[in-house]
Amino acid sequence: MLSPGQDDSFLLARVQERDADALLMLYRKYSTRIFSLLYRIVENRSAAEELLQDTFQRLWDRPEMYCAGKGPLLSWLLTVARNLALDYKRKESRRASHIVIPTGDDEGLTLENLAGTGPAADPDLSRTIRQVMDSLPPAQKTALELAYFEGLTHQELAERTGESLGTVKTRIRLGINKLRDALLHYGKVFML
Amino acid sequence: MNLTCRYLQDDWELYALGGLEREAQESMFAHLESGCNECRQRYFAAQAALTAMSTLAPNRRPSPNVERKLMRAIQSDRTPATYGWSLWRPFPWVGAVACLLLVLWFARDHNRLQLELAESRENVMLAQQHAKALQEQLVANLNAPQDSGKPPAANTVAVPPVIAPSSTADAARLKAELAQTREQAQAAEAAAAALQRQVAQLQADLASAANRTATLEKELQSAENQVAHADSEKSRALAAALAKSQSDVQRLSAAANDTAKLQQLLQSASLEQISLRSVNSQGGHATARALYSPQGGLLLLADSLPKLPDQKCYQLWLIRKASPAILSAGLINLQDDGKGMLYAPPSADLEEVTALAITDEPAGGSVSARGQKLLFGARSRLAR
Repeated sequence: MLSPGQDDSFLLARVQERDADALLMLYRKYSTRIFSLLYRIVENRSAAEELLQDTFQRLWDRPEMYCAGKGPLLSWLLTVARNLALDYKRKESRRASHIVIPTGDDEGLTLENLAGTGPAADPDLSRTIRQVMDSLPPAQKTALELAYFEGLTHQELAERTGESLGTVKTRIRLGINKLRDALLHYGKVFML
Repeated sequence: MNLTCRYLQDDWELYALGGLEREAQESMFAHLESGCNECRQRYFAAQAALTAMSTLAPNRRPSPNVERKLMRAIQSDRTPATYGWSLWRPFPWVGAVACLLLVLWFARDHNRLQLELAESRENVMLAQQHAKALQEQLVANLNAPQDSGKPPAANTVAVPPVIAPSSTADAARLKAELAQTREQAQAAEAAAAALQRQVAQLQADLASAANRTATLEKELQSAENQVAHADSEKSRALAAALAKSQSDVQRLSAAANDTAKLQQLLQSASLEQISLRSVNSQGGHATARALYSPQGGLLLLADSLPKLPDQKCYQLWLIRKASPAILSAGLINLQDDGKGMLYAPPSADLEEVTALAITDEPAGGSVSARGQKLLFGARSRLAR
């Protein structure tokens, strides 16, 4: 009997054997985390839902694209989803130069919006990361958010902020390193 | 750490974010694929930071429709080529098109007959009105005085002058005219009834054609489903066979690679053995042995390792004289029977190792050891 609590590698092996139930379990396990990120990037519920379906459809179509050497499955799925969302956003912004597309928060408080499956992000972890982000120098925080959620390239960031490419890269690198350090302290600290 | 590692060490965060130029991304990917453990750890740490960053997005839940659509999409699993070909399956489509044309023809004829029927009904009504007027006029004339010099009574029905009767001869003519008009009305009624019968027949034909069309559509849908199902089964079986073959090839090539590495390690002149024992109740009766040589690499074989929860993994650490004093040697590949294995290729990191330790860490491993120390083994002093 399959369940979302089962090991990812076991569920992935079943997906490779074309077991639709295994994909369903992975979907139920991670859809909320991935959808939250997609919604944050594209700011449009229907588009985010399409992209969520595309993300899992990719895993189903080509499960061999993921291997344990690429890190945890959730990280890989978030990377795939983020890339899809940023591609979508670039296409939409090109189209928006010709026609007006209604975007923005189309979220209403409906039963459907409260539905769905899968655990949300760990609230403690989320709080810790938020605190770290708030503690970053404003320019560093902005650079990191624009790069991660808006998909701006280093060059675009440099042009937008009027700073050198090297400065932009350093800011992003330092920001990620501070997040990494915070993650280390978030878990149990153990010295050998 | 070799020169490549030093060159790349500051860019793993940018690589994980996906913001580097294509060439840089490719060379870093190739370096990861080469099996550099230290760079892999750096990359995983950056990736973990970005995964954590995704929690900044406010929690939203997708609607249940997405799950349903996804399941429908993967269960149909239909390739575009098959679908395109099925559109051109001739026989069911020809039948459907013929039925459609038949329905259109019946519908057009039906409309024409409906118009004719309406026109006939109107004629009947006009004829009946005309007959009624004539009848009233006839009655009025028969009751009127024979003296034509007097003006008509005030309540007499006014009739057109051309047919205004003034004598018995006129009355006879009007009777004949009335009879003729009645005949015309009867004929028109008969024509209307015949048209109504025709309309009813056409409606029955139309309903029959619609039923036939529906039946053909169902047959068409059923045929398409059968074809799709057959194609899907076949392609699924082929894909499964292909995936299995690819997996076998990968496994065999990995095994060959492992054998070559092991041979290099065993042939190494400075080969040593380090025994690791459980130092924590969580470690149970686990034991491990490491074959170690700075030039040949490190091979760790563990036994009786307790099963860990899904979100944990075993990680091996090198404890060194040199800085950094503690370095990850990688994650231990654990099997269901509690046996574990890890191979670390030769590198400068393996120099000046004084001891080895195994900890439990979050899935994906840690950049620095923070789990519980479960097994520990020191290198012999003579060997150092």
